[in-house]
Amino acid sequence: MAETLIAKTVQAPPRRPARKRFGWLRVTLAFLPLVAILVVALFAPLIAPYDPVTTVAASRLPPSAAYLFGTDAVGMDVFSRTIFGARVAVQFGVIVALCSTIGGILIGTFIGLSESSRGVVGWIGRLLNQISDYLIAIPSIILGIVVVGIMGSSDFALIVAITLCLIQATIKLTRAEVLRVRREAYLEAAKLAGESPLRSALVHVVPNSIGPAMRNMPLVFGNCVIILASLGFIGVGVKAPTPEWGYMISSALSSLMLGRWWPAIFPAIFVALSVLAIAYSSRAIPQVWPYLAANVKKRFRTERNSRA
Amino acid sequence: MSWYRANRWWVLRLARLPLDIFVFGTIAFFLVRLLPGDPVSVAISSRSGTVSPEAIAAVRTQMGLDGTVWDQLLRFWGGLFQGDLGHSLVTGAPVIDEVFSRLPSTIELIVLGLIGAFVLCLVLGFLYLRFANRALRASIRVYSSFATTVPVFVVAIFLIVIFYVILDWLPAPLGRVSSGTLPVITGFPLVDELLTGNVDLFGETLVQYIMPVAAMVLTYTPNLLTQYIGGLDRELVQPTTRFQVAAGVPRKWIFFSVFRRSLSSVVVVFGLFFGSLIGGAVTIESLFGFGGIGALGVRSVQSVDFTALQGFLVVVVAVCLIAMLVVDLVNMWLDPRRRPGIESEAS
Repeated sequence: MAETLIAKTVQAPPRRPARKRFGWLRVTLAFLPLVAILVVALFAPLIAPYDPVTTVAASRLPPSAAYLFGTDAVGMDVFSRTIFGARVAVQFGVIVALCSTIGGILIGTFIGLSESSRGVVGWIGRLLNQISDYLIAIPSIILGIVVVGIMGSSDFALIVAITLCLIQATIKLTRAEVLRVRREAYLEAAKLAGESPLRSALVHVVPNSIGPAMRNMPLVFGNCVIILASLGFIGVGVKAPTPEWGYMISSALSSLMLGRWWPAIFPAIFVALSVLAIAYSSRAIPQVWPYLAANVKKRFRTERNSRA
Repeated sequence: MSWYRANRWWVLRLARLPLDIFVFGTIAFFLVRLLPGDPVSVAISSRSGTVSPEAIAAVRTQMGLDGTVWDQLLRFWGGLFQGDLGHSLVTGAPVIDEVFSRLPSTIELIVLGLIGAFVLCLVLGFLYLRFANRALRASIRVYSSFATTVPVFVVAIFLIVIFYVILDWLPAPLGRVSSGTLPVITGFPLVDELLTGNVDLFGETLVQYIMPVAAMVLTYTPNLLTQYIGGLDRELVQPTTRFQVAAGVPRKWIFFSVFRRSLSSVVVVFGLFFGSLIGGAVTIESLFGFGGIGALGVRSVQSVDFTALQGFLVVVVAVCLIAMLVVDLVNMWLDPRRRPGIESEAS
C-alpha cells in the first residue's frame, strides 16, 4: 500500500530535455570561437604587420596607431608577437590533442579489454592502469618540468610532457566505455565468426567506444594552451625568441611593476580569451553535433537516392 | 572486532596511503635518474686544477651516489622509512628541511585561496537555491559557465594591472613583506607574525595576499560552482527530497539535507585543486615574489639536484595523496552511501 502510494505520488515529474531548435545559427555559434582561433593562427603572417622576432622600433613604446599594442623591452611589436603566439599555441594544441586522443584511445582500449584477464596481458593492463592512476597524482606543471628536464628543452619534449599530463583523462574515459562495450553481443558474434582479437578490437571495439574521448578532445586542446602558457611563464617552455604567450607575460613582469602594462596585459587577454572560447566550443559542439550529423547524413542519403 | 567492522571504511582507506607513497617514491627515484647530466662532474667542475680519481670517488660517496643503482635504491628506501630524504646535492642542506621550510607558506596561500573559493561557492549556491529570482539564477549560471581554468597567473595579471598600475590602491607585488625578514616558528607566515606579535608585518602580508587570493578565488570558484549547482539541481528532484517534503520536514532541514547531499562532487574538485596547486602554485608565487615549494622543484631540475628533486616529488605526491584521502573520507562522512560495504539501492 505504502509502496504504491510513494511510487505514484512522490514520482518526480520527468524532466523534459529542453528541446532546442536546430538552426544553422546555433551550429555557427558553437563553432565560431574555435574557428576564430584557428583562423588567427593560420593567417598570422597576414594579420601581423611586423616580424614577431625582430626589433622593429624603439623599446617600450606605448600603444599607438603604428604599434597597436606597443612594443616590448627589446623593441619587438607586441601585437605581431601576440598574433603569432596564437599560432604557437594552436600548433601545440592540435598536435597534443591528436597525440593524447589517439594514444589515450589505444591505451584505454587495451586496458579495458585486458582487464580481469589472466596472464601477461592482464598484468600489463593492470600496470598501465596503475601508472595512469599515479600520473593523476602528479601536478601537471611538476610533471612538465620533470619531463622537460629529462628530455632537454625542445618542442618534442614539451609535446611529450603536455601529452603525459593530459592523456590519463582520455584513457579513463575510453576504458570506462570499453568496459561497457565489451559486454555487447556483437563482440561475441565476431569471436564466433573467427575474427582475431586484434581485428575485433580495432574494428568493433574502438569505433564504438571513442565517443567520450572525441568529446574530450577540445578540452585537451584548451588544457594544452593553459599548460603551455604556465610552463612558458615559469621559464621551461618554448625557447626564448619564439612568441609564446606565457613567456611573453613573464618577461614583461619587470616593466609591469614599473607601470608599463601593455607588454603583459595583451598576451594575458589572449590567453584568457582563447581558453574561454575553446571551453565554450567544447561545451557547445557536442550539443549541436547530433543534429549536425543527422542533417548531413540526411542530405547525403537523399542525394544518393536521387542519383540512383 | 565490531569496532573494526563499523570503522572499516576509513581504516582500510588509511592503510593504503603508506603503500602508495612507497610505490611512488620508487617511481620518483627512477624518474630522477633519467635526468641528463652528472651531478658529480657538475660539482667537481667548479674546482680548479686537475682532479684525481680518488677525489671524484670521494665526492661521489659524499653525495650518496656511489655503488650501483640498486644500492642507492636500498639506501633511499631505508631513508624513506626513517623520514630522511638525504642531503641536497647543491646546497648540502637536508632535503626534508628545505621542503618543510617552504611547504607551509605554499599551503597557507592555497588554503586561503581555496577556502575563499569554497565559501563564495557555498554563498552563491545558497542564493541560487533560496531565491527563485530569474536574473540572479541566470547570472550565477553564467558565472559558473566560466568553469575552465583560465590560468591563475593570467587573472592575477589583470588584477595587478587594474589595482596596482591603474588605480594604485594596492602595493607593488614584491614579496610578503617589503622590509625585514619573516619570523619563522611554524613556517606559516601569517601565523608566525601573529605569534611573534609583529602586527605591522602581519598587516603588510595580509595586504600582499589580497591579489593572489582574489585571483585564486575568481579562478577556482566557477569550477566548484558548476559542480555544486549541478548537484543542487539533481538532488532537488530526488525521491529523497520529495519524501521529506511529503513527510512534512521543516523547510530549513530540507535545505540543509539538499546542500549536504550535493556537496560531495564539490569536495572532490576541491581536493583535486588542492593537490594540483601544491606544485602548480609556482606560477602565482613567482608572480608575486613569494617563495614556495614549486620553486624548489624548478631549481632542482635546472641544477640536476637528484636528491632534492626526488624528495620534492615524494613530498608533493604525498600531500596530493593525503588530499585525496581526506576528500574520500569527507565524502564518506557526508554521504554514508559512499562507504564501502554499504549497498545502495540508488545505484
